Amino acid sequence: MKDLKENLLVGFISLIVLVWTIFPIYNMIITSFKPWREVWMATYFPHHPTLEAYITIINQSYFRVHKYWLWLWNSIRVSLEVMVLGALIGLLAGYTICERSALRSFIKGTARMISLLVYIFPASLLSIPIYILLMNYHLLNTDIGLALSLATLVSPFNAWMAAEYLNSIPKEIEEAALVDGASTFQVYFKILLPLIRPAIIALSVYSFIFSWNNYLYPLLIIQDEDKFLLPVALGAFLQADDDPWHIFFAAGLIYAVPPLVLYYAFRRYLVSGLFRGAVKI
Amino acid sequence: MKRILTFALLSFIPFFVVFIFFIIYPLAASLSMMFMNPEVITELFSDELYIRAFYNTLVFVGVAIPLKLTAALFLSGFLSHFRKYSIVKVVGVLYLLPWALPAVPAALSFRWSLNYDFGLFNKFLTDLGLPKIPWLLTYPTAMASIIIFHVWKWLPQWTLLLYAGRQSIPDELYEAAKIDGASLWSSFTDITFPLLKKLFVICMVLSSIWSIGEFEAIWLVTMAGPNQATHTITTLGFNEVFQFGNFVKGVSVYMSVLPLISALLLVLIMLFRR
Repeated sequence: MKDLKENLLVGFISLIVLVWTIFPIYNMIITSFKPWREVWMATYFPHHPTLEAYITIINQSYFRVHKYWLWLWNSIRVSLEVMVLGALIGLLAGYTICERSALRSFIKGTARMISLLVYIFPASLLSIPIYILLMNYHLLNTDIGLALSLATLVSPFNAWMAAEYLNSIPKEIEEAALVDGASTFQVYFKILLPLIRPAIIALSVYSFIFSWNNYLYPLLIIQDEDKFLLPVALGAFLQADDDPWHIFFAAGLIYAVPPLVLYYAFRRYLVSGLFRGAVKI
Repeated sequence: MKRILTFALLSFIPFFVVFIFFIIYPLAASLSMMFMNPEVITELFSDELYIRAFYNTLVFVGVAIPLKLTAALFLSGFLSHFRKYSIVKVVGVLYLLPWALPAVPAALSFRWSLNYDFGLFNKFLTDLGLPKIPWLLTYPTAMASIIIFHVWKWLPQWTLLLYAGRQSIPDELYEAAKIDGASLWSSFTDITFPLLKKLFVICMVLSSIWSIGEFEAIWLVTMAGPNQATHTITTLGFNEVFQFGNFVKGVSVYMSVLPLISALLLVLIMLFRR
């Protein structure tokens, strides 16, 4: 009897959590398969499902998606740039701030504090200051301006994740290699980095998703339509509520696929990376 | 090993350079821009829209954060305690979807679902025989909509964090409590919460700091409406720059929450140190 009650309770709570989680995604999916006139009817299913919206996007035959594939490519390119820059900066800084780092505790402590503060400070409050800076240096509408801003914001997380993994590598490995005559540079790139491959995977995927999903920075920094990233183009969709929501949600779903695939493909790495941080707090 | 020392210092240079160039320099420039125009600050504090935005920010943080973290605390407990059920395993995989899903389509999906005439929320309410709610059309329901979206988007991250915290509590404690006949609730109040309290408080402060910077939930779900009533600090400052090109005012709006952020940062550092 107690088992039955527990089963029912667990099933009921699971159902609520699942409906709560999936509902907005479900709404996107059904709307994207509706024909235009049906968008204006509240229904749980499309009565006349059609690929109209997706075909419109593939042909780029509606003015708000007329450069969809170019914008998709821009998003991919910028996210890859952020991934590489963020990983490089973060992995190197991780070596400075990890606990086994040989630095004097004052310097190490300062470096740790700086990276922690950057991680915690709300990124959106830096957006206008960074925008003004980029404007003064004529870096608006450039990949490098956008990618460097985003890489700066993601690198403290990367540094801490790298540091967490570096801590688990015994110092002796490094010292033995140095005695054998390798340079510190070689030891870092050829011995330490291969040993923390899970961290590299986790922080690269994290950086890519971070950049791909970010809306505020590309919205401010990129104004040239040919250089738009997808989220900005999608956000510009809705100037009024009579816009074609089925096309918007089809476009939004295509845009949402890469982070979801990456997330679920690399979930193990991402979660264990986050776990290590959390348990330490 | 002096060489290791040198490399440990050199490896911080890229981070330090972007830190100075993209964080310190912009912040310093913004602050000096603000203080060179002191009349803007006085103007700000008599600006009705600014006061409303500041108030909204406080309301948003004050309601959304306790709500989200309490939900995360219980959801993490649910996922952890009932993990042997196969349906809970499914939940454990799927509940993370909002975290990975980009904010733009998700927020606009909420906006469309909350539409008074054509949204699924009101369709659902009418089907249950309940009256429609003017979600985005009145101030309190619009604030509620923002909070609902925020909780939806960020619940997974905090649940995961608290779930990780729970894994560090030894199972033997719960087994011993079970043998003593303790209920689920009393093992929560006597074992889980005391051990999780510090992590929970840190999450509260950290989440408050980040949520002061929440932008998408307001900009995309309510578009600061109805009639600019749900502006927060971030959307107001952004609007000043983006729509009116008023840099000094936009920057001042943002910088005006620095004291609040700094105070919370201080609390957080003290918590970390303890």
